[in-house]
This record gives sequence, C-alpha cells and structure tokens, in this order.
Amino acid sequence: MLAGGLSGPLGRGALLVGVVAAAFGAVAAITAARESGRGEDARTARLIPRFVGLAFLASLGSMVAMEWAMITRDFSLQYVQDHGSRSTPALYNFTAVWSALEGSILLWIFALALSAALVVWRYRRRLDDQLIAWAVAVICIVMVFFFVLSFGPANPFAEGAPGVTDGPGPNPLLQNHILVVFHPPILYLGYVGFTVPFAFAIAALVTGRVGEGWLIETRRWTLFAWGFLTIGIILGGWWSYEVLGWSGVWAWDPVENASFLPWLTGTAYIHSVLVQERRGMLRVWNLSLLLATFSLTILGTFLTRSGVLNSVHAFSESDIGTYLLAFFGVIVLVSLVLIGWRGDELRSPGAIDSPVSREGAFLANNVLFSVFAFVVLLGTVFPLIIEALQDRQISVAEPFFDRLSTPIGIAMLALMCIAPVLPWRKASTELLRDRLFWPAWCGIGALVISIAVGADGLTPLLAFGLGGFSGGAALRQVVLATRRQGWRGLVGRANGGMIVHLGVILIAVALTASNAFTHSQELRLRQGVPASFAGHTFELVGFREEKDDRSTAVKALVVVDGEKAYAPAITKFLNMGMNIGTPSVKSTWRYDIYLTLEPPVKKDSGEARIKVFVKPLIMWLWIGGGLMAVGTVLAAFPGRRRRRPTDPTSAPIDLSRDEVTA
Amino acid sequence: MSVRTTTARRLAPVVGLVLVAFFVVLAVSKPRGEANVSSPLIGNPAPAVRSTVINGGDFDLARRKGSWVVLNFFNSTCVPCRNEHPELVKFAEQQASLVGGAELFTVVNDDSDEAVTAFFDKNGGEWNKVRDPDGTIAVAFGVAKVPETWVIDPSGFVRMRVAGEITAPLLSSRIAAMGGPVEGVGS
Repeated sequence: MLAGGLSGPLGRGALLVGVVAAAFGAVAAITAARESGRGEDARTARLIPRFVGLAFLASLGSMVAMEWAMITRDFSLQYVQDHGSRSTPALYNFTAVWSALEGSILLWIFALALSAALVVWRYRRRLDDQLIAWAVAVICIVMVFFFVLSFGPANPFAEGAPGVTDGPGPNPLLQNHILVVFHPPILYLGYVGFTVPFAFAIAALVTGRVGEGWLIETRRWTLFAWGFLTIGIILGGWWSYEVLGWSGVWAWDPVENASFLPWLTGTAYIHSVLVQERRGMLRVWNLSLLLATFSLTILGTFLTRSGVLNSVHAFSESDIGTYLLAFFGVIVLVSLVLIGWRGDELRSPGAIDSPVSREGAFLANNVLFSVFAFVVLLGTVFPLIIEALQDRQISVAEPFFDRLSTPIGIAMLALMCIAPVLPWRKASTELLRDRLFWPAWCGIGALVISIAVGADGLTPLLAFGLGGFSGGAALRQVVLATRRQGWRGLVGRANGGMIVHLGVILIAVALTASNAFTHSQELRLRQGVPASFAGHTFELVGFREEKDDRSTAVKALVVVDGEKAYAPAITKFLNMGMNIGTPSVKSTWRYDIYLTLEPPVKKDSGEARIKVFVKPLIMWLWIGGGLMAVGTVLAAFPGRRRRRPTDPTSAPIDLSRDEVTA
Repeated sequence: MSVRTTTARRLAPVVGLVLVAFFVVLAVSKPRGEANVSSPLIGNPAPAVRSTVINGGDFDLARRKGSWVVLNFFNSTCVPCRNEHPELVKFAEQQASLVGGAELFTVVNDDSDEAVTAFFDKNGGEWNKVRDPDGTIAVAFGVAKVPETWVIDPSGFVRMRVAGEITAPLLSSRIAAMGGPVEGVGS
C-alpha cells in the first residue's frame, strides 16, 4: 500500500500550510484594515482571498489525508491504530475520523476554514472595508489557533508504533447508529458558525463602528449557526435515546451542557438583537452575549476535552486543555478590554418606555436565558470550584438541574404566551385583552384535554396549559401574517420565529410528558408466555445471535401487543471488552414503547429480562426539532422589505441598511 | 446617564474579579483522567455480596472487613483485561509484602471456570477468583464494562472505582493516599 504511508506526511504538511496561510491571512487583513483606516488604497486586501483560500485547501487536504489513512487502514498512524480497525464497516470507518479528539479538531478546522472562505467570498468586493477586514483578521487568528493545536499537541498524524496491523476500531457507541454521521458535523457547524458573528463583534469594537451595521451583516450567519447548533443538540438527544438504552434524551452531562450554554446565550442574543435593530438599545448587552457565546464554545471544549470533568462523552482526552484554557482567557480578556475601551460610544440613545412592550418582553426573555445559562454553568463547574476550595470531589447531577430548570422553563413558556402579541413601546390593557383572547382559550383547551386524558401534577398541568396558550399565541401570529401576506407570511424573521416557537413548545410539552408520565418496569419474560404491563402485552418468542469479526450480538425477539417483533440487543465488542445494549423502540404519535435487554443473557434458559419503558409523546420531540429547523430556514428568508402603515411602529431605523443584506 | 456610568464603573471590578477567580479555578483543576469514575456507592457501605470461589470455598464481602479489598471485574476474552493482568500480578506481589496489604479478588464476569483457570495458569495470579454466574455482583456495584476495579476500605466502605485498564503504581498509591498500607512503613 504505497499511497497509504503517505497520508501522514501529507496531512501534516497540509496542517503546516494551514498555519502559515491563516497567519498570513490575518496579517494581510490587519494591514488592509490599517491602510483603509489611513484612507489609503487598501491593496493588501487583494491578498486576503488567496491566503484564506489556501487555508481552506489546507484544511480540506488534512481532512482528506485523514480519511484516506482511515479508509486504506494505514496503521502507521497512531490515530488509526487507536481508532481504526480492519473489521469496522465502511460507514463507521469513515466517521471514525471524528470519533476522537485529534480527528474532531480536524473536523472543527474544516468547518472553520469553510466559514472563513464563505465570509471572504461573500464580501469579496468589500475586503478593503475596515469592518470586514478586521472580521476576517479575527477569523484568521482563531484559525491559526486551531491549526497550531492540530499541528502540535493534538496531532492526528503522529506516527504509531511500528508493526501494528490492526486496531480496536472506534468506541462501540460510535459505531452502531447512523446519527454518528450527522450529529457531530452539524453540531460543529453550529459551534464554529458563531466564530463569524464573534469576529464581526470584535471588528465593530476595534473600528468603533458599534452602530447597528455589523448586526445586520451577521444576522443570517448567526441564525444559521444557531440553527445548526439547535439541530445538532436535538440530534444528540435522539442519538442518546436510540443508542444509550436509558430511554432518556438529556442527562445534563458536561458535554451536553457545553453545547447548551452557547445555545442559551445565542438564543438570548437572537431575541435581544431585535431590540437593538429596532430601537438602538442594549448595545453592550448584545455584544456581551455574542462574545459570551463564542467564549462558551471554547470553554465547553476545554471542560470536556481536558478531562477536568467526567462525561459520558469521554471518547477523547488529552493535554490540549492548557491551550484551550489560555485561548479562552485571551478571548475573554480581549473582549472585556475592547468593551471597556469603547464603553462611552456604546451608550444607547433610548430607554425602555414600558415593561409591557415588545422590548420589555425581550428583556425578560434575556433575563431568563441568562439566569438559565448561569445555572447550567454553575452546575457544570461547581465540582471544580469545590475541588479547588475544599480538595474533595463531588458531582452535580440531574436533581440540581431539573429543580432549577423546571421553573425557568415554565417562566419561558409563560413569556412565550404574551410576548408575540406585544407591540413595540407600549401596550394597552384593551389591546392585550383583544389579542390574547384566542391564545388563552387554546391554553384552557389544552388544560382540559390534559386533565381528560389523565394528566395530573402541578408542573405538568402548568406546562400543558401554558404550552397551549403559547402555541395559540404563535399560531395567531402565523395565521394573521399569512392572511395578510399569503405565503410571505411564513417567511421573514418574525414569522419564521413563530414557527420556531411552535417547535420549542412541542418539545417542551413532549419533554414534560415523557419526564412526568413514563412507566417502566423490568419484566422477566419466559418464552411463549405473554406478560402485560401498562396496557400492553409482551411476549418473548426467541433469540437471535449475530456474529461478525468485531462483535457478537444477542437479540431477544419480543412481540409487542401481538403485532410485530422488536429486538433489543446486547452486543459484545470483542476488542474492547465492552457490552453495549441496544434498545428497540416502537414509536407511535401518542407514545413510545422502549425495550432494553438486561444482562446477563442466557439463551438456553428461554428467559430474558426485558426493561420496558412506556413513554408518552416522544415522537413530538423530533417533530418539534424538525419544526425548529424549518422555522430557522424560513426566518432566514428575507421577509417584507417595507413596513405597512398599520404595523406597530417605533423609533425610526435606517431602512436603507436593509439593502445591505438583500 | 451619570447614574448608569457610576454603576457600570462600580460593577466592572466585580465582574473582572469573578472572571479572574473563575479562570484560576479552571487553571488549577486537575484532570481526573478516564480512570476515576464516580459512582453513588463511593463513600457508602459496599453491597453485601456473597458467592463462591473457583478453587473452592465461599466469598462473603462483609467478612472481609478489617482489610482493604480490591475487586477486579474480569473476563478472559476481554483485551483490556488481558492487558492489565501483569499489572495486577505486580500489585498483588507488592501488597503481599506489606503489613495489612490489600486483598485482591477477581470477580469473573460472564465467563466459564475453565477459561478463567486456564488464563490464570498461563499468566500467573494466585489470588481468589470469585464466581458471579448471574452477574449479581456486577449489578450490585453497577459495573459498566470489564475491566473495572473497585477499592473497599477496612470498614467496608466503597472508596474508589476505576474503569478500564489500571496500573500497579496507580492502585497502590491511591490506596496508600486513602490511608491504606504504605510501602516502606511497618514492615
């Protein structure tokens, strides 16, 4: 295999080219910005596309080299020795490239270089604009950091011990579900995507153009980054549900929190940015939210990849922690210094007139999201704080997060009932009574239906009632908008946003229902003897054994409700000494029946221990996730350009600015 | 405006201080490594498990009180178990040379007596191998995958859980750090 041995040197070479190209890109961009700042002809700007293009090609090259090494089973590389194997199926062998730390940094770099290339291409005619040049410079600097990380401490192309001809393959959990192809790259697109608005925020601070221009430039970037992050998180929950066998979607694991934190601050930003665009207020706050979002992606990567916190995602750990922490420190320091320096120019021209207004609601939204982010951050790092102060190890688990997230979630639902119908500036009581009439009836309807189907408990009933109310409020907006504007009533920020709201509400209701009303029991099934539980029958009809080079799987065939056989399995991965349970799920729109096979399995005894979970409304989680994705795409479409005279209006904004994004 | 400016001026140092403290906490936190896994059992009495030993005799964890006990969950086909075996042999020798040295037990996970005996005959290791035919012991401890190593102190409290391959120095030093037998002391 002649070409096989080459991927190491080629990949490493590509990374080195990447370091240099990104560094030159940064220098060129800063030079161009300074030239244009002095009013000279920014000729250096012409070099930017070349360097950024080269960096993109370098990242592509290193990614291809790694894939090539994995596909040709090039066991001269340490990474392939550790995470490749001759018996891994082609698909999981392909995804094995990002199944551990070094390779996932490669993927990260690729996504980053892709964003950089897209930014440069998008603004190819305006690279001599100071704001754009500084933004490109910031992206390039971030790129340098990650290229250096990959070239040095997290080198995926390190040579392994000689003479190795096979490896264990990726972690078994990363080779039994198709979502491994989608969840990590999509999540990374989300993480990395926030680099772009971050870069524009820094550029705005550096150039002093802290008005609303940079916001409008980055609106769609932020939306897509947020959308990818959202979908990535939901796919992660789905994966957990389908693979891990504990029937849950979210465990407040540090890695999950690491993705949730930037999502919270990002969501807050998406809302509060509207206030700034409309009324020029909350400038410092918006900048802080963006800077925090990006910092939190780096902090999350540090927390989960340095090994300071334990996680179910412990697929990879190494000594890159110091680098990430230092980078996090630099980002926070630079951000704070810049905000402090530009402090006076960031004073907003207006003030909020009344709390019962659109901007007041956005402010309340931001308070909730920030408190939520603070709670999650505190819970995640609390073990570290205790360890530093008292030198003992503790863990903060679900009860903490559940107890605190429930009231916050309820408050968010309540806000979603009222906020969409509020006008800017000030709302009168009559107006509220009028606009909230139908949504309130939806809420009462939802409450009645919930009680009729047997739901009880304060929190679930509150959640269902508010879910109906807020769903009604969102639907009211969509219906009014489509009635006025036809299909255009579905696109644009406000309308797309309402569709996202509907998705969020579905998820909130589904999560509440499945958390509160899951029934589970372990059944000892004897072959041929049906058992019943929670109104369903389960019959063990036999076992099936499947063997291949890497694993042996035992499946118990269980017929549910006399219809179809489901086959929860236990797979023993020979190389890893790991037993992996794989659940089998019957999904309907009303409930899921989730079966897991409990070890030890003795086929000859004709008996199996099957754990059964009957979970309501799970399917609506995924539907809600899909709706959020659809809503995000719709929101990214340009809405109506001109406002109608009947629309609620407010402080004037410069409408010509909208042309920029067109 | 001026009120807000003063508030901001006063708030800035506080925000800075909190961030610096946060940064310091992160900087001093030590990697825990993949090895040390948490468990609700840690700090609590070990489950009262009983079984039989492959070469004859009974095993009752409750009766091991008074000495440090190390349970190693094992399967003779699992590659990491085989890899760590020489380290366990080393550990057992070390502890045997100490006063009040820890007792090592292999808990057989989903494996036959013959396979286990054959493995130990070939690779050494004189300690007792405890049968766990229906996985009761593994379930009682909540073992996720073999190999896993658990340390129980002389009062019968679970003190440590290590998932994955272990090394003799790590195990000895951790037990010593928890107040167990120390090399060069007492003997």
